[in-house]
Amino acid sequence: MEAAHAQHGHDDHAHGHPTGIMRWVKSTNHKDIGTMYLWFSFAMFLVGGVMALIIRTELFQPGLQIVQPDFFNSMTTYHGLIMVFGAIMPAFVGFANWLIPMQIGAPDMAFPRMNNLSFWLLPPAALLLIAAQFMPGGGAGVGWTMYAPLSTQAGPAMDLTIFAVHILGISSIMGSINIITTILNMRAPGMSLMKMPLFCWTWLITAYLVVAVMPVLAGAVTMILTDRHFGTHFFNAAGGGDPVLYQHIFWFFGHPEVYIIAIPAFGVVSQVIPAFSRKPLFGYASMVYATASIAILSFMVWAHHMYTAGMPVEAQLYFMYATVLIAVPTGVKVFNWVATMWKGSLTFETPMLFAIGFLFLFTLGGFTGLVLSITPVDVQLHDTYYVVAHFHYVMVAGALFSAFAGIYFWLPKWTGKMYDETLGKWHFWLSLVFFNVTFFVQHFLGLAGMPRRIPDYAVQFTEFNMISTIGAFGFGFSQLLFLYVVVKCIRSGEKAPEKPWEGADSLEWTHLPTPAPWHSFETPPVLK
Amino acid sequence: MRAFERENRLFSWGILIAMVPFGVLQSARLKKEWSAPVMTHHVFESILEQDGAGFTYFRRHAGSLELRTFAWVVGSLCLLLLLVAAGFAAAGAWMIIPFAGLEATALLIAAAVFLRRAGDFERVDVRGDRILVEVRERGLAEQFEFHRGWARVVTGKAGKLALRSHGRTVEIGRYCSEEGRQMLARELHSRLGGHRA
Repeated sequence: MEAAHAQHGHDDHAHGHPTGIMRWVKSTNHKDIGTMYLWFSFAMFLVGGVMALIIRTELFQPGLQIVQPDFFNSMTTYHGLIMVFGAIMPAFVGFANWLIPMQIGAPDMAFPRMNNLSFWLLPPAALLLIAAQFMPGGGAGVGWTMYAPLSTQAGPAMDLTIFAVHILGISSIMGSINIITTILNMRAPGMSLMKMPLFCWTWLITAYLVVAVMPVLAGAVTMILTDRHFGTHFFNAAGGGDPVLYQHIFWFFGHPEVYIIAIPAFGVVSQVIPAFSRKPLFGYASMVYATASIAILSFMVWAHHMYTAGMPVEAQLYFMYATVLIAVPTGVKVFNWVATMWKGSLTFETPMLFAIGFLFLFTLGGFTGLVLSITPVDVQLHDTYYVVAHFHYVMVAGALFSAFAGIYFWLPKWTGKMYDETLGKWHFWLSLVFFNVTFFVQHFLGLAGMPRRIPDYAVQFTEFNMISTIGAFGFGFSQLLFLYVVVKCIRSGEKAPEKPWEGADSLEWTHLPTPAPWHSFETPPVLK
Repeated sequence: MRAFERENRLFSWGILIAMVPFGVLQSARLKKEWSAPVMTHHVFESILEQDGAGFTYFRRHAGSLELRTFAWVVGSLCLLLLLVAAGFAAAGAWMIIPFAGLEATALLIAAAVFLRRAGDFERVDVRGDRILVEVRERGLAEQFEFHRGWARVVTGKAGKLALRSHGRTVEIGRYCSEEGRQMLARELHSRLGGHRA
């Protein structure tokens, strides 16, 4: 290992390492682009978070308090869009950029210039989403699902939203083609597919999903656009179209999208848990097959989002059974993570705490998903706060907690400095507690019948809404602590040891120095 | 809501028009030679053989993608796209087809780029008075011969390395890191007449 370190030790200064703003604008370096993705996603996380706090402030009490209903609807729409497309997806693309080349022994991504372009498409898309708020009539209050006919009748903000979705889609496709090509063609000699770290496997499968479903989303929003402006009637019943067709198209994209977010999160957790258990991942092959099974099944269950839209009982039964089936490979994964920890030499540094938090809360979100998969139950709970609670347990406690685990885990590798462990743990516990304060009570609200996407509600829901709002503010402010921890680490963190986590065994830890050099693996690593 | 219609159209066209310079700028950026170094060639195998005064330098791609896997990956993705687009077209949503087609095209272009690079190599063979340079880049193979007494190693912008003689210049060490190019330059320099910067 020392030889490898010596070989790369000088690389930080090689190749006229660019500096200044143009370093970032023109960068084709996977590490720089990964960093930009991560910072961009955090900025979007804050924007989406502010929108969430506006929603929760309005819902603190019944009645209209601080915003008008149209603005409230707009906030729910753009909170969802920005969090899904602007925050969580780019965060994991950031991880992919940073880690995939280092984990497979490649010097960079397969198409570095395309990599730069796929990042720089994101800011204009984000600006379009934010600019939509200032269009005549305000932002489009159509929900992140952009259901027709609401979206075909919405104001001009809808057009900006459609263009933004197109740009985000192009960026995702370019990123995915890059990831597929990199993983398949640029592995170091000896790095067979079944020796790759699980994070690479999860991203390979995710990239497949992205490539498969993005044209569907692009087609769906384009049909909305042509229905709005060019006289088509894809979703207009008066012209012979079918609004329910939009729901089918959207959810054919939308359900795999859930896994596009969740599967890389599985990958991160699959790196963190073995490292802090000081054991190899239990059932590596079964983890790979389970991930692929989840991805395949995700194409077959889309209509469980539409039980109340009207479909034959046979179709309802099929989608119910198919959805329940996803619990099998997901159960395999949860079992393997727990089995990895079983009799391991566990320590509980911040990344491990977030990984365990993920495991606990994601499993809860999975169970409420199982509840919702049962058709007669879903008919009762559809469009209630139970659904809101369910998908926030999956998205926030699942994807976001996993992203936090990953950031704390790889921060020493990225920066060469250690973060403040005490503050990191504070961040975890505050996030865990306030997350549950915010969202656990929403299960009760949903079970009691409170509908989602409303700015006002019946008085019997007041107490739980108050608790939820307090939790949301607590959770939001806890993330400022995270920002402080990261900035403190970068500016004044203690120098990280070469390998701060003794159980970490992927190439970036075993074959590269800390911090990772500007260029890594210009010559392929020697693998056993 | 109808009051929005005219504004909608104006905004849509406005945005479309506004996107054009953005697209032009982006494509111009793609074409432009960026100052930041790009590692366009990634994993290499290199052989440096020394046989007395003789010297062979050989470098080639070592892509991990087998042709069969490659065909399977691209084929399965294109088939999946086709099936999805055809399914929705049958239900009336034909507008997914052009996007699926565009994406399949992008996939095929990416695949073609990698196939073209797959067999690329560079060989510099120094024997007796003769220097033979063989280069295969993006599928095009070329061969150059120099006289050892006349050929010079020259370094250019961004550390690029070339052999020059009688007005002919051939770039070498194109798949190397800067460090590798410096090493190659030293090796050649010691065997040729001199080295000019």
